Amino acid sequence: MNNKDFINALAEASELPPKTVQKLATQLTAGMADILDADTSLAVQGFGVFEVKKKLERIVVNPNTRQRKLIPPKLVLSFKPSNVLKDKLK
Amino acid sequence: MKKRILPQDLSDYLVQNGHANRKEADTFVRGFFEVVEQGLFEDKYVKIKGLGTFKLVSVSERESVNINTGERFQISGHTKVSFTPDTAMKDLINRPFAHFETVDLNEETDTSEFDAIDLETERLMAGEDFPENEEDETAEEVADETDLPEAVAAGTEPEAVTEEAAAAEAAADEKDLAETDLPDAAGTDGPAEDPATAVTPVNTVTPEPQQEVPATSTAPTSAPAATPEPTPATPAEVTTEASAEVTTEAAPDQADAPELSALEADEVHATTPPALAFHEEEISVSAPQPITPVEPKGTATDSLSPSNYTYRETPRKSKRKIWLKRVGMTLLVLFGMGLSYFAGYYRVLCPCSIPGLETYFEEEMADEPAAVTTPATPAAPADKPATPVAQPSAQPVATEPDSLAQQPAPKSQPQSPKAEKAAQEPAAAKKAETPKPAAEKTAPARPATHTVRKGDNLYKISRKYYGSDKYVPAIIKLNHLKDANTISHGMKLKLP
Repeated sequence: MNNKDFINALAEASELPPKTVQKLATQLTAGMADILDADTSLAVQGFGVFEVKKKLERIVVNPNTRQRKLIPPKLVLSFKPSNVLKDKLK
Repeated sequence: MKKRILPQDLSDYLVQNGHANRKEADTFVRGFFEVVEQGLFEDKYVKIKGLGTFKLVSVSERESVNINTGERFQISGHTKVSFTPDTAMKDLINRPFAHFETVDLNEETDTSEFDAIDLETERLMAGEDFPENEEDETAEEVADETDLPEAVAAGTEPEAVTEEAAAAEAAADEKDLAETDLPDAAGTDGPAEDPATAVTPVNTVTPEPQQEVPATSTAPTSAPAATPEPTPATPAEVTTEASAEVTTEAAPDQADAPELSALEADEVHATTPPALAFHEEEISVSAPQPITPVEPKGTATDSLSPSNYTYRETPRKSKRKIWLKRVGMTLLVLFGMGLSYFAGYYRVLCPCSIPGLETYFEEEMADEPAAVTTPATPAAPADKPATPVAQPSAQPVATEPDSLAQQPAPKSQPQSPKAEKAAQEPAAAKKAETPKPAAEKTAPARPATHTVRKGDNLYKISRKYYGSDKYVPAIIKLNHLKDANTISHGMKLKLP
């Protein structure tokens, strides 16, 4: 299901015109990016939890050149499915 | 604890920003995740622009072992949900850390500091050595105290003041040692400031196995507090031979000659920043550096380990190292300046100190009255060349009371400060400054006037009669020349 299919399906489910749904979907993702930070998580009942995790800096070595590199720390958005969703998948 | 937000908050956000009314927003947000779920079941993947991709990944059956009982059991195959954020979303989330960049690490880059930090955190986690840490902190405070005045003094004051300050600090350190009984930490950190302070408090030097220092090996073994102290001194000795004197002196004299040893130690301090750095190194055992010699370090750590020493943070160390270097440089420069002042200035510029010169001076003085038969010239121009010369000629008299022959010279100056002086003084000064040959050259009678020929200029004339260019201004003044560059052919110039 690509983005187009998703918008259409969502338009059908929420009884809104696809254009509006497209716009709202963009706003929603922007809002999520806005709200979520290192100490906030988004919990959706029956679906899962979106949270931002901090990855520490680390040193990697290129095995061919033996060049070492320091990878800076970063924040990553992760999703953890809820048990309800997991059960449904079984 | 993380703050949890719910889908309602998302719909609030939509409403607040005026993208939808409440009802629409609610149904939309709820529908959003439902459709994602639905799509997952249908297509096994959902791709949402600006958010990311949800995917179903099937995990095949595998065997595992129960870690408690050691039993083998099967993990049945299942599917799990994976989520990969879109690049746009990734960047938005990572905004706070966006300015970081990947850095290439060179061969030389010392990663041991990372290990050091790890070690420290481990130690802290383990909760051991808490009193030790406190000691360390107090020691650092002490170190700070010594650090600051020293730095200030070195920056603004001459050497002597610095030494005094250092000595005073050393004394203070000793007191601190005695009072608070903080054996290792205070002992190592305080003297670590510079070798001066390190050397002076060595009352109870322990015999570290350093063959270079016979003086220290004779001292008693008892005090564990002093154990780290010889080590700062000894590396310095190894590196500079001159500093060998320092401990040999300092050890027997102990506190009696702290300033002297401090002075010498300061020299060492100035000349051997690597040695210092090395000492710093010992203190922070955790962070080794490529500069440090290997063998002494081994002994140093050996000596430090029984005293249960905790290292210091590395950033501080480097900061202090820089300070020490600066102080050292300043002291070196000051010392050099002082040396060149005393050694250089008097030897080169003071005429009296050159042996044999006085005799020429005397001769000249005897000659002058005879030579000065030249017609009297206006007084005003003569004054100027006379006065600067008067000072050096007066000095020898002051410094050498023996040479009575010179007495007439200063005496005559006040008596006849007129035209004769003008002729006499420059000549005398010249004798004083340029030894024998010049004296001989000018001794033959010189004419009172010079007739300008073709191709002559004032410098040539001056050189011809006096052997140097110094008398050009005198000639100009004496003849009231308006323009020194144009002297006409056949012109008669009076000579000073």
